[in-house]
Amino acid sequence: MADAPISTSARRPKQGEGRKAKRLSPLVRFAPFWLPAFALYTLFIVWPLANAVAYSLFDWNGLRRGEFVGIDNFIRLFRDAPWNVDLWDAFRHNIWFFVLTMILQNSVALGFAVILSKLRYGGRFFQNLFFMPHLLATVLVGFLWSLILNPLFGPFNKALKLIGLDALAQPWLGQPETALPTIVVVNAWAWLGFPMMLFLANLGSIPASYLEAARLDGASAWQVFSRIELPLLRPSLVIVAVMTFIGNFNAFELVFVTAGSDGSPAGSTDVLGTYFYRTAFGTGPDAIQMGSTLAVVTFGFIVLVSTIFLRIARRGQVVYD
Amino acid sequence: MRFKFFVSLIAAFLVSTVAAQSLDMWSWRTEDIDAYNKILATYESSSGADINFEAFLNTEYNTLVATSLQANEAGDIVQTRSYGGVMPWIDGGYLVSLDGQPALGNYSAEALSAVASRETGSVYGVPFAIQVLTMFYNKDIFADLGLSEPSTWDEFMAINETLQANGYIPMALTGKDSWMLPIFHTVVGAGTYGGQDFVEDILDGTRTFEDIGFIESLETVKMLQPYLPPDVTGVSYADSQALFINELAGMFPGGSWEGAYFRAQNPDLNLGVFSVPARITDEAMASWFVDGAWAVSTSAENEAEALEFVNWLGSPEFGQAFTDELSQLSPIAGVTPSDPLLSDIVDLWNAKSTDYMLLVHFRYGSPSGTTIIGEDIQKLFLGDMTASEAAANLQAQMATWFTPSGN
Repeated sequence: MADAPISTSARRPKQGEGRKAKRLSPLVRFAPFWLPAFALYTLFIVWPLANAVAYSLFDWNGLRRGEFVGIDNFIRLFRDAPWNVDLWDAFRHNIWFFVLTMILQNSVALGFAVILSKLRYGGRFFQNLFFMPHLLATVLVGFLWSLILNPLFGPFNKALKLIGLDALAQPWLGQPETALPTIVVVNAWAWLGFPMMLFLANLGSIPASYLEAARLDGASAWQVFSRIELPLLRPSLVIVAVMTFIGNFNAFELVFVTAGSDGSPAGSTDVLGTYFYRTAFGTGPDAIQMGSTLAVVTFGFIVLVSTIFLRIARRGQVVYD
Repeated sequence: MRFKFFVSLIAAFLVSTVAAQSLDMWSWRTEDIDAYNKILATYESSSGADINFEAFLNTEYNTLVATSLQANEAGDIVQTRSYGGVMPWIDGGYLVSLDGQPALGNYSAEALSAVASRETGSVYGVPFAIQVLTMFYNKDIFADLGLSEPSTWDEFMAINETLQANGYIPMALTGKDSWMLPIFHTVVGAGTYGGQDFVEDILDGTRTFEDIGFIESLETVKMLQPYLPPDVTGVSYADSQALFINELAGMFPGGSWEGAYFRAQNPDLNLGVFSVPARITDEAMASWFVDGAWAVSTSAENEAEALEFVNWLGSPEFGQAFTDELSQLSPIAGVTPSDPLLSDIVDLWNAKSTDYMLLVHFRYGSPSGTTIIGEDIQKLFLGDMTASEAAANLQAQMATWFTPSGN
């Protein structure tokens, strides 16, 4: 069955049928297949996006569109206080969020994946266990962790005090120095299973003969990992990096649940997502124009960086012969 | 016989549809549907109108109404926010002016300014509720410790000391949910900067936020930090409510909306309220703001009938029913709450009050005054900013969109 032709061209067209097929281009012939998806995508993704771009080019008076102002709103966002100050603060926090997540979440996920792939028993069990938090809604994760980390009633600080680590019993989400890293750790706790699964799948696709050959040549476990497995993990590493990047630059729910929309405490957790929320859904006559401008800038940046990432990745496609 | 019966049935139907026009009334108070239906029944029976009260999800209400207004499909009567929150609807020309309507006579000029155009001064809604910001206290704890409501700043500080010495957290406050911090500032500091006199000066440009009185009001906030929960910037709003409800804290600085929730959670809670006497002057005052209003949208098909109804929504009859059914404060003259706690709050408001300045006057642009001071007070608590730095920052940020009216 596997060798059965799937392409229609393999079958000799009958008289008449061929003429009809020639008249219709594939684009039209397959319309029932691509048209619904295309229509939905255009309606719910492309159209709002185009709208946001259009909105950002106008001056708005409350809900009513004013005159066309070109890129004035963008200039304002990048040049005028307090817009530029908040923008760069939020941007810096997003970068920090991304860097910390790459270090804390993805390296741990990689470590776990390598260990689990070598386990003879229980690998499946731990795999499911680590993936479990990923099934919880982000809002729920945020709520649970803010209860756990609560400085007054939370079990985390109580446990620390119980074992004599009073100095570590901090209001984790209530200090500018610790708030964002704490959110990163919570985020990593929830997401760890996902990159781990990708790494595991990738590790599973590396032919066992490569590893066997290396071991026969006397390579140590570390050499096998660093010289063979790691280079061959490149596809999943790139995917994970891109997904982490997109996820972190769109971060909103977890920050919103644990720290609110104004970057509490003292603006230390303000990311582009919360800044956008505050601008677009807050007070002030600029809500629509500046909200759209900020959305366009964020979207543009994410598209640009993701494209670069993927370009680099394509150069190093791995093919097993 | 049968023919006659049908004719009269059809006639009755036609008469009822012509006479009893139905009005759609849109609100974000999904939790109040039953109460509103009860209140509106009196109007329906006296006027013969059919009011269709519809409530939508609070968080989606603004977007929903905004799009409906633009498409000319909004309800005849819409619930609006106040001050900066309603301005896009007024400026967009989506609400019907109520100038000259008799119901406006039932309100103070301050209350009406919440739904008035900043350019023309025309009024576009009848306010339905006000919120008063004061200090709640636990009467039983106060009685146990022999404490009474303070009339001077020193007495207020002595109360804090006594509560603390007896193992209570003197004041339950969140430092994490920064929207509560400007409320705390106005509850303990409005008297220090001079209340309404200062508000007028700042609006006409005579004084700025860097005025010594305003800096002192922020110092007052910092001075009270020892009497707040430990690690206050890590304490959430819900935590602070829990501390007060579970009688672990003696006082709670907050708005009049809290009372109903506190008593629902702990019916044994014996609540009292007082206005905090100002540091330096000892003058006590409550802060207040208009919560929202009812307005006639330009989508209304029968404007005359909608106006008649909105006049009733601005009448003492509605105000009294509203305050009795929903335990909220009505700004309509002549309404007296039957609930003793609300009645105490109204007394404080009548005794001496000032605008909750940063919400009432500094939410017409972005960033809003409440956002900036909320963040600044967090920094004040964390020791990352001084009172005068916070005042200077507020002044600089407000100056990006606020222009004083001039003398």
